[in-house]
This record gives sequence, structure tokens and C-alpha cells, in this order.
Amino acid sequence: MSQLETMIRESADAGDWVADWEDVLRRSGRSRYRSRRAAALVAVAAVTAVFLLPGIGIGGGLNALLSGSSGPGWELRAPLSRGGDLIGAVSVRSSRLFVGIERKGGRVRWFLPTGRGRIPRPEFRWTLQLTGTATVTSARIVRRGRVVARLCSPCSDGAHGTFTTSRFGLQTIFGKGLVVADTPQGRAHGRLRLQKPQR
Amino acid sequence: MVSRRRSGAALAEIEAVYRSRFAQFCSVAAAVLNDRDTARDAVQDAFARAVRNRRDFRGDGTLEAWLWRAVVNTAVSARRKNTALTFPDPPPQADDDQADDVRAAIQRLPERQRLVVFLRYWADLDYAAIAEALAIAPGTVAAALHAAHGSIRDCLQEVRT
Repeated sequence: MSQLETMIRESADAGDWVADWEDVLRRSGRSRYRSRRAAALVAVAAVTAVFLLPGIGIGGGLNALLSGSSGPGWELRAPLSRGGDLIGAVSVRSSRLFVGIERKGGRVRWFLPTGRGRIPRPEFRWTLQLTGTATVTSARIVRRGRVVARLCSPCSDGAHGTFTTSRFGLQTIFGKGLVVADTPQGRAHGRLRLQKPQR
Repeated sequence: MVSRRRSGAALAEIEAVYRSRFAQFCSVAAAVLNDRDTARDAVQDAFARAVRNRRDFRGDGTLEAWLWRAVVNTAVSARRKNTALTFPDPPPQADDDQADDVRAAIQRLPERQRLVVFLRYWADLDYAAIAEALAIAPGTVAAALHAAHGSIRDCLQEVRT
């Protein structure tokens, strides 16, 4: 570097300049954008909280629907007891029926979807849950001594399956139908009752 | 060195250049405007405009050169708008302060040569970056510097004799 170049470099104004980036952002209008973005984020967070947090608004129901933990729709459940001891339970579900409960009296009414042609027999899904070391050799749903649906034989904990039934069977299932389970220690019984939907 | 991008510049990159080179930006703007307060204002305005238009940065050159162009253009525009800031003839130097002599000699240069000198020696930019900042060819930068050296040397000899 020549002497002249050095002299030119040394002639630069080395004043004490103080930078202010916030001032640059203010002049650019950036601060307003930032506050708008912050407001938008707060709004999104609030909506998310309302929708997803249990106990707030529709949060609980939607959360259950998304997670599938409790399952949407109705469920019939029959606790199985033998000599006063609870040995398990049978649950029954169907997505082909609409169910209503009368406000007075609690009577259960069911509705089949209408349409052209023959209405298919509704299909039900059942699940057997056993407690502890309980074993079941066979299980079925009966009404007035008539078997409406055979569930399993032999049966193990977590056994599940499907069955279809007639109009008579529907009346049984929603009319506190009886689930009978045979065990090596004797017979266990339980009545199907509609569970209140989770809200 | 700031990396090249195809489109747009990140706000953080602009801020990094601003913070690391703020004194040089202000020095060059002050040399153009001959007023410190107006110079600082011009730098702030130039960066504010760069922040707003950062998506226009196409990455043809360095981000720093793009920002220098913004600062120089803003400073030159401000000087042209405000006649009160028109470059005065440098006062005759009574003392032997070498830096003042050099500054006075630089101020006598034509505008392009003056800007090239500022960017080369005060901002420490290379020829390519100066060319990009002033929107001229690199060869023009070299020629302008050569001419500026001659003028400054003559002026200094004139002052000392």
C-alpha cells in the first residue's frame, strides 16, 4: 500500500457512531408487522386452546374424537358378575344406528337409516374384557331364553367380533338384553345398558 | 462475507451487516453529506428501505455491496434534495494537519471519484463491490481511483508548497 493510500485511509472520520437497529425497524414499519404477527399468534393459540384443551368449550369432545381414546358415538355395556363378583364386561357398538334417549323416563329409541331398497341388517361390534384370572368358556346375548347372538366359545380377554341381528335382536339389545357367560366356576350374567356419551 | 442468496435477504443478515459496518456506513454518508446528523439519518433510512425491500435482493452480488448501494444512493439523493448541504469548497488549511489536508483534497474530487475513494479506503470494499455499489464497471472503478490518486497528490503538493 502506498503512502498516499495510507494517508487516505487515516483521513476517514472515525467518529463515535451509535447504531440503533430498533430505529431502523421502526422506520421500515417492521414493528407494526411484528405486532400484527404477535396478535395473529395469540389468536391462533387461543383458538387452539378452546378446541383442544379438555374442559374448555368443545375441547373435551373434540380431543376425544381426535385421539379416539373414548370413541365417538354410543356404547352398550354389560358388566358380568358371578355370585356378586365382577369377572369382566361385554361392550357392544354399532355405527349403523342412531340412538336417542327420551328425556323423561330414559327410554332408548333407535333409528335405522332409510333409503331405497332393502335395509341391511345392522352390524354390531362386540368386545369382551375379563378381570384378573377370570376365564369364560362361552358367551352369548339372550332374551327370554332365546339366543340373539353368539359371541365366542371359548373366550379370552380382549376377544372381539361382529354380529348382525334381526328386529327382535335389536329390541333385545336396546331392551336391557342379557349377556350370559359360562365359566368353569359357574354362569355369569350382565344386562346391556346404554352408556352416556362422553362430553 | 455474507453468503449469496437467490432471492431475498434475511432480516438477520441485514442486521449483521448493519451492526458490523455501521461506523463505515456513517463515515461515508457523512463524507457525502458533509453533516453527521443528516448522514446518520440517511444510513437509518437506507437500511429501513433495505429491510422493506429485502425480497428484491437477488443475490447477484454480495448483500453488503447491495446495502452499500442503498446507503450511497440515499446519501447522494439527500444531498441533491437539500441545497443547504451542497458541498462547500474546502476552507484553506492553515495548520499542517495531514488528515484534514487529505479530506480537503478528496472533497475537491468529482463526485464519482470521491465516492470510489470513500468506498475503497473508508469502507474497505474491493473493486467488484464498489462497482456493484455504484452500478459501474470494475474497470471504471480502477480508472476513477487512478485519477483520484493523481488529483489528491497534486492537491497535497499544492497545499504544502
